[in-house]
Amino acid sequence: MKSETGFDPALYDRFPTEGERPEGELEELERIWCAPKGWQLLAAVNNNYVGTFYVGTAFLFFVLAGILALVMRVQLALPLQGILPQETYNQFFTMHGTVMMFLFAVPMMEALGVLLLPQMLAARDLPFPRLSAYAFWAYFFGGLCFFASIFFGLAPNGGWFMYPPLTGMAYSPGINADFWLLGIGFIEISAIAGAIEIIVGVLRTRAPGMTLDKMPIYAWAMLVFAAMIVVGFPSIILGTLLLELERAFAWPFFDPTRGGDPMLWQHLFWFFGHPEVYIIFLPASGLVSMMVPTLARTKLVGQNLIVMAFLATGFISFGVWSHHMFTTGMPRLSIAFFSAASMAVSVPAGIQVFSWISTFAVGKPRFNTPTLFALGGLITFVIGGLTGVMVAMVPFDWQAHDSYFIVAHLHYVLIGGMVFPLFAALYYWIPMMSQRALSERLGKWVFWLMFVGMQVTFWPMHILGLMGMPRRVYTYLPGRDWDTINFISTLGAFTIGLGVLLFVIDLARNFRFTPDNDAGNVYGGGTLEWLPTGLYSTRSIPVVKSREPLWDDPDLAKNVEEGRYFLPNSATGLRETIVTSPLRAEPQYLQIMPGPSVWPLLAAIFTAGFFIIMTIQAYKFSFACGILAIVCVLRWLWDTDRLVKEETVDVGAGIRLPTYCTGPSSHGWWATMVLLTVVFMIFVMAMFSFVYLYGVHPRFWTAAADKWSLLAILPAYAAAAGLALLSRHMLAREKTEHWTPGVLFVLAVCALVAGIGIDFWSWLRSGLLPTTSGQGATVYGLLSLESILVFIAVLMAGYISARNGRALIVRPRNNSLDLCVLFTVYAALEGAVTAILTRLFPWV
Amino acid sequence: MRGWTFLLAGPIVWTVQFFALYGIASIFLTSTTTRVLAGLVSLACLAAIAWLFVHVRRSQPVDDPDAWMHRVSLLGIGVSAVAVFWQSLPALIA
Repeated sequence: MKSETGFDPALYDRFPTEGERPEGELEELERIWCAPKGWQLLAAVNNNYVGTFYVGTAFLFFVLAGILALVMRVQLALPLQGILPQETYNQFFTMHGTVMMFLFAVPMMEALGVLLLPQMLAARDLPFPRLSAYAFWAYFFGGLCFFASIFFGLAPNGGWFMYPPLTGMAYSPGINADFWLLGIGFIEISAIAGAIEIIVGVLRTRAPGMTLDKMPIYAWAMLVFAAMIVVGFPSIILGTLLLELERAFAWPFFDPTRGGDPMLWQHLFWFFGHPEVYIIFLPASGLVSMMVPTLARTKLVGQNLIVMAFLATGFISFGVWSHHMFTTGMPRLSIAFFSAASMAVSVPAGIQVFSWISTFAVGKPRFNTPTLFALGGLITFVIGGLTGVMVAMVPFDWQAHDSYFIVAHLHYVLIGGMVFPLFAALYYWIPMMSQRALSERLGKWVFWLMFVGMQVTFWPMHILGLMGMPRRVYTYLPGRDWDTINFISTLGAFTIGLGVLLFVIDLARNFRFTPDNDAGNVYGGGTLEWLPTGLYSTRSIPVVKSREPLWDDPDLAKNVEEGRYFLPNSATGLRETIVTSPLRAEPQYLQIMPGPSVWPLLAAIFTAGFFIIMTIQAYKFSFACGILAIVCVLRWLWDTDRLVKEETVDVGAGIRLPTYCTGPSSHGWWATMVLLTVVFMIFVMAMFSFVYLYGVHPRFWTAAADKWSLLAILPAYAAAAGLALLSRHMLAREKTEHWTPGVLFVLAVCALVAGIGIDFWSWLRSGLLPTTSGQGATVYGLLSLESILVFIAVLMAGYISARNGRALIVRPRNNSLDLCVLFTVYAALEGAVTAILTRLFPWV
Repeated sequence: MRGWTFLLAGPIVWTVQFFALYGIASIFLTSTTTRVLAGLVSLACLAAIAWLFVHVRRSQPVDDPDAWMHRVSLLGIGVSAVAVFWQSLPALIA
């Protein structure tokens, strides 16, 4: 067997170890990972707690958005109902879509990842527990404030897609649209934070021996899911930023009379918006792929094909965004390319469906509640998938566009592809964290009410759509034969509501959270999350030799519990986990993990406050929150990246691992690379916007800023990158003075400031202003993005100086400096490309 | 890195083809130029897929994890070949 890192795989044969473990090890683990009590819960960072809070909050938003839907269905049950006035109805459907997509679906999938992944991978926790806590609290506070806007009549009302010009200042002068644009800012941050956590967690904290072929299929799904967030979310981050800039400062990104274009918004929105469907579906598919083999009592059929399908979906789903724009007058061939891709994306989805059907057919399924939800989801999703292929055909889409047919299609896909699998998962995994499992008897009632309700609500909407009923109307006239069908839909919606209510009652009766005294492996799953666990996860971290280790090694649970595998104790007296290599999961080093802290909570409160308070235009208070958020983040970081006294420790069976690692092998480096990918994607979308606006409105283009200014800008950025790299190089030298690396880094950031300063000055001198035209808006938009990077680099310079002053920048390598250097070099590169592109494009 | 490269190679080729076709159709609209360029890009991508197929087929996996990567890479390349061909059809018939 070959090695990826130099680790000898033969060492795995030392496990399980023989003999008794020393006394007191388990007690020490329990002390180090002790449960928070009372107010300490707010500072908890352990994935059991954060994951449970996260799932609970996402479910709360599901219920709230569902209530909005029920009120809308009452309004539409009969023609000319007066329950919801038009404006309120607009706010309801906008909030229903927005909350379901941004506050329920994506967070719920991340929440389940936080809750399940460490257990499935047998890691002590995800690699950045405080980041998980921050992501959750930002989402919790921001989400509740955002939702509360509906009680004041201030909720957004332009649809969850917020198309300009409807959402521009001319047609939406109030702050409702700003609530959407700024309100989801914290959700974007939360989603990105979660994605970083999941990518690094899946790739770097798997149990030793868990090579990619043995990785749980859910981990594969979450890996692709997180990668899709990293690629897809930047588009909406940029879009919301541009639309808010247009609304606040009249920068005409989307105003065609001044060289902008509303179609640009649609491209930016749907480049995120359609992959979003798969961002939601893939984790659900991963959950189903984990449950089906257990429920059918056999191995998953076509596991390799499913992995390939996940990867293919991750790519192809980014080639279908314009199928939401078939009616906008795009070139015929462009439409045909998107149509082809939209049909192609159904192939990987079909592979997954056939795999589940085959597994059920091969096995001996028990028709318990999770099985029913899995099968119900499969049937519903297939119907939604088929209507999806129908609307992928352009002529049909022209007819069905903006009609209730689309409402039916999207609910079939989302409820079948995500909601039913979610309920299956809740029934299946709740015994892992509750003293009691949920009721089978009630569960079947819940399923049948929801399944029948779903079909009764949404199937008739296909007919309504084909009969011409448009979407997003708050009422309709009698005499169009829509009345009865709408009434039936409303009855169905309340049937779903009854099912969800029963589920809540079941939860109240049976769910009792526990980290260590759970109901256990009720359904007989074979993966690692069903090992006995405490807040420290498993007592020892097993060597994984198959995909379903619990099925293949009946003694595994006992040996793990007796501490016969990796890390049976706390090697340093601190919270820790083993970081493994990305392909073959070979142990590389021991990561020291941070404990409970109140700083992520405070940082999250102020982050949410920054965005929400900005919406109501209390700018001073908002910026104060922003500054406080930064202070809290810096304070939380201050405790991290510290050496412990042991350079290497025994992690079991005499195998020693280092306790500190820098450079490309470290988990911090990986997280920074993922973050920089997000930043890069935002930049790519900004460049696309710049080129796109030239493509549609070249007549608004004027002469660029002085090209000779590049002779000053580019050397400044080159100096920034060079000095930053030099600071890293000098740190490794024995003869280097204590202050040299810090001073060099500060100089690098000064060069960055000089670069962006000259760039701004040069454009201002040219006479082109951001309000002048689409060109001006996008040029200053690009400069603003670079300015944000430079501002962060300035904060980094202060942080590195402070750490340097306290002798925390240690030789020969230090993660804090490494990562700040990485960021600064990237900022310099982006600044240079911005300067060149804006001056030389369109190359004349 | 090499392992990831081949695992994702097929879908990456499809992505390159798709965005090239999108760019070409956006610049040259619905025209003969678009069809010709789209055809050329598609042929180049099919050639790249063929090269990848031959390259991966020739490599010898040394153990189970390697063999798994090998299998999934080939699956990805196979599906991508179909996807690239499918994606090129609009230029010929639309």
